[in-house]
Amino acid sequence: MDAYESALRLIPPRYIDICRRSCAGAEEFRLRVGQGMTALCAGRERRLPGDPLREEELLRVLEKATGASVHSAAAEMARGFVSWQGLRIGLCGVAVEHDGAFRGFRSYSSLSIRIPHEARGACDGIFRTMRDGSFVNTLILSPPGGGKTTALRELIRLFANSGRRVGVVDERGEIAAVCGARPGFDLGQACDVMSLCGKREGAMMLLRGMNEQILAMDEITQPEDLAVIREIVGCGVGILATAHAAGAVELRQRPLYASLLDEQLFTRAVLIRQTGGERRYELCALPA
Amino acid sequence: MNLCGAALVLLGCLYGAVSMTREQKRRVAALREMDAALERLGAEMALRLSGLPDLTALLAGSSHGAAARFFTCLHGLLSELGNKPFHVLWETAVERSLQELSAEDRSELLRLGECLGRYELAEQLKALDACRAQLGRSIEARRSGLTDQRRLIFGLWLAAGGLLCIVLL
Repeated sequence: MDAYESALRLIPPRYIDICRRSCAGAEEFRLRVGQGMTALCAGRERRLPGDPLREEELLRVLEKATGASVHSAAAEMARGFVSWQGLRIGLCGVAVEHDGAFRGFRSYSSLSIRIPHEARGACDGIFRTMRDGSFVNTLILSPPGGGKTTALRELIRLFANSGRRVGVVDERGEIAAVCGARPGFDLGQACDVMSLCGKREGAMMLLRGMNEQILAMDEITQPEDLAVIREIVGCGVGILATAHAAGAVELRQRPLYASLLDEQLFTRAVLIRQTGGERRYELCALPA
Repeated sequence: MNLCGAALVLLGCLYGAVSMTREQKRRVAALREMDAALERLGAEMALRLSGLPDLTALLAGSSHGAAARFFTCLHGLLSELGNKPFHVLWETAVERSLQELSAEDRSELLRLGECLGRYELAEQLKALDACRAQLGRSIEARRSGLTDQRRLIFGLWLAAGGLLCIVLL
């Protein structure tokens, strides 16, 4: 099923027709208690007509997204999101902590339903350059919401169809949108997906058990992620990953990423530039 | 003709007695099937942390008799999740497909439905154990009383049939 249709099945029923009519192709739906639902279209948040949302409606959305199974979704919820059929539902509300550890939410004030898109053919141009010779560790860069995961998905598919074994650590279930045992998105013929597990655990299992040539992962955001990348590089496996940054200069300014550059863990970047609603993909070398 | 009539009355009474005994056996079987399915539900939950939609699909396919009927019904109803809360769907499935169970057993199952999926795993497993304990008590009570009840049912029906024959003859 199309990701947008999945998102429509998730939102409060009174908004389904409104969304179908007025915001097909939205990137996100945002639900806030006491406010009308909004849709993010081409980077702009637009309020949809309708009465303010009640917390009860947010709870129904969550009940559907978790399959009414808190025990299954607890680990994800503790990280602030829930995955459902490839959609990432971000959570916000009053948190409950016990002994300094997050236990869940007492109440929910906002949800953000992120709708993934496929961009078939968008990366064909850069892929022609990337496939030549041996694989170079590559970082996909753009500001938040710039299409990093979409580009990552596309490159995974292209590499996996070009005869390389690609392992995907899909921490948030967004890259592959695995439903049951099958990826919701086409990730190519030689692709193995480890869904909903941490980067370290997933990467190590793929390395030990699946003998991958390239490992792909989304959003390098924490020092622990860097430690995983160091380990993978040490094993001689290529890495394809994403990071929040507009370009190499911004990457250098952030302490976490500066060490990536210093250690030459990534030497190539894919830059995503948005011009007038259109995305352009450029390859560039990352300076040490 | 009178003898034929008397024989038919007696046969009718015998059939009534057999049907009642079979009904009792069916209840015990339904309880056993539900107990086995709930045991598997708890085991799958604890081992794989599977969500309830996956678990109901699994149990609909792998359970027997009343339990298969119940989980098939529940799995079908789960398409309404998001419009109706889970415990309401569970309650509907209990009312629709487990009518052979006693009110006490059904209310224990309803209590379980209010807990499933809502709390942490340990709480849910505790509720499952409590429900299975109640079902186990019901199975035991019905099983131990089954022989006596069978005798009583047969005795009563045959006595009633005999009396009717005497009156008719």
